[in-house]
Amino acid sequence: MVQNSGKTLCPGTLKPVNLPELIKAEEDASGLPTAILTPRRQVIKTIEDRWRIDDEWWRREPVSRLYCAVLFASGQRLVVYKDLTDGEWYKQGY
Amino acid sequence: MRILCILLPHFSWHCETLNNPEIQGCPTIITYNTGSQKLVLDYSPDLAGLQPEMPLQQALARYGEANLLQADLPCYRAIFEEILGALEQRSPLVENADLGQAYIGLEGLQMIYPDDRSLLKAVQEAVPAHFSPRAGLAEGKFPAYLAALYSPPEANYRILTDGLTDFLKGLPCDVLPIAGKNKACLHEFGLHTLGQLAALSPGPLQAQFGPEGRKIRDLARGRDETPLYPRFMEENIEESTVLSSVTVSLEAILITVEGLLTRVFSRESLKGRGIRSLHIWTCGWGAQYWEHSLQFKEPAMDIRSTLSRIKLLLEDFPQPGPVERIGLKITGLGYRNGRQKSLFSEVRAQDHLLNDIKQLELRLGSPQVYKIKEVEPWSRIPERRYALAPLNP
Repeated sequence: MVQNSGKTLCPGTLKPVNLPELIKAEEDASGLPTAILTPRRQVIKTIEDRWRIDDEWWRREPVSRLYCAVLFASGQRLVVYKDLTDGEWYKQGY
Repeated sequence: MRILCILLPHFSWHCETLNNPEIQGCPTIITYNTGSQKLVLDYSPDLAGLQPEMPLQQALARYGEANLLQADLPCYRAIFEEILGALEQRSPLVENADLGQAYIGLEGLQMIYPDDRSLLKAVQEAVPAHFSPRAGLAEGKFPAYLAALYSPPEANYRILTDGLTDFLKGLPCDVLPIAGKNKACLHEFGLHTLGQLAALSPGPLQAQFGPEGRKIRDLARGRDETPLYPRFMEENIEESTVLSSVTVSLEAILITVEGLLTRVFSRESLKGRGIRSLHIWTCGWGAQYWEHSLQFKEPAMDIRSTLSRIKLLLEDFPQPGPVERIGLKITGLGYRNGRQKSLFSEVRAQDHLLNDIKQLELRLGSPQVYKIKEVEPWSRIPERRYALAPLNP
């Protein structure tokens, strides 16, 4: 990480980091994921943690997400979330 | 200080007759564009009642059958530059006041020109007779200008030594170099001549016109303290070309500019020096004229870095129409800035890296290397916490 030099940031030249990526997922009756289908079908062994964030309710597009930290059978860990406004699943580092 | 004013009346029209002698004797109006407005730049001497900067429509309402010519400003400036260069052979103090008007300082020339007539003769020889030059010699720029403007036709010069007040008192207020609305205001007050203005005390004029009121009174009395600003001679490099076919394509224009820059950088006089400022102009089909200047924070030492800046300029300020001629005038030449490098190799490596990143940016025209910056590290929304900012903002 570069130390903050205190220079004024120019908003026009900033690019986002860690944008969410759309994925396909299977979910159970309670809405929790059971398998991730992108790029290939991977069954979720356990959901290690889950949390919900609701923010910016005053905007036209509020942020309402249900995050799940999942562990696959292969030992790989991933953080995915379901966007509660459009129902889509995304993966994102947290 | 004694100053000589050289006036070349209808200079632009005379320049046009050099290339097109057939327009002599025909009523002609030379026009130029300023924004969306077309104004009169100059006109043939037989068209009475016209003034420079008059709207073209107004001029055509008087002389609807006059020939219309689009002004070729680079050509007129080039011809006037030659004349100024010839005048500088007579005196080192030459001020370029306007197209067709110059002031010459006479300080220190007594050993070369023992009297005024020999000086006037030398100056008139420097100006081609085709332009019908008029000269005026007086103390101060404004009196010298008036002396030239009202010089007798048989001699084409006037020397004002004594009798300045008598000469000025009958002249109209319209000769004053002030705003048009102030001239109209003077006439409304019944002040039509410089003599009437000179007779007033400074208070009422300043109360009505502010600081310009004092200037009006001083000028009406023949007192002009404005100093002479002689031309600053700096080395210029000029290159221009005519395109083989009229084009609107940016790529074609850039290829032509690259060719001009190749000629510039191949000159022996430029060896080891870079470009600090340049002036680019284009003349389009229909004589539409476009010009812009560029300054470089550090001297551009090669064609590539110069061309990338010109490309950005051409993209930000598109051409008004198809382009026929392109020219470059390099007005600032300088050596590369010296930089003290660090003794430590790690710091030097960092400097090399930053320099390479900067060159990449100049070549591709947009930032290529970014660094991660904290924006809202406390945010619950992950994509809001950090952002990528260009390494060289």
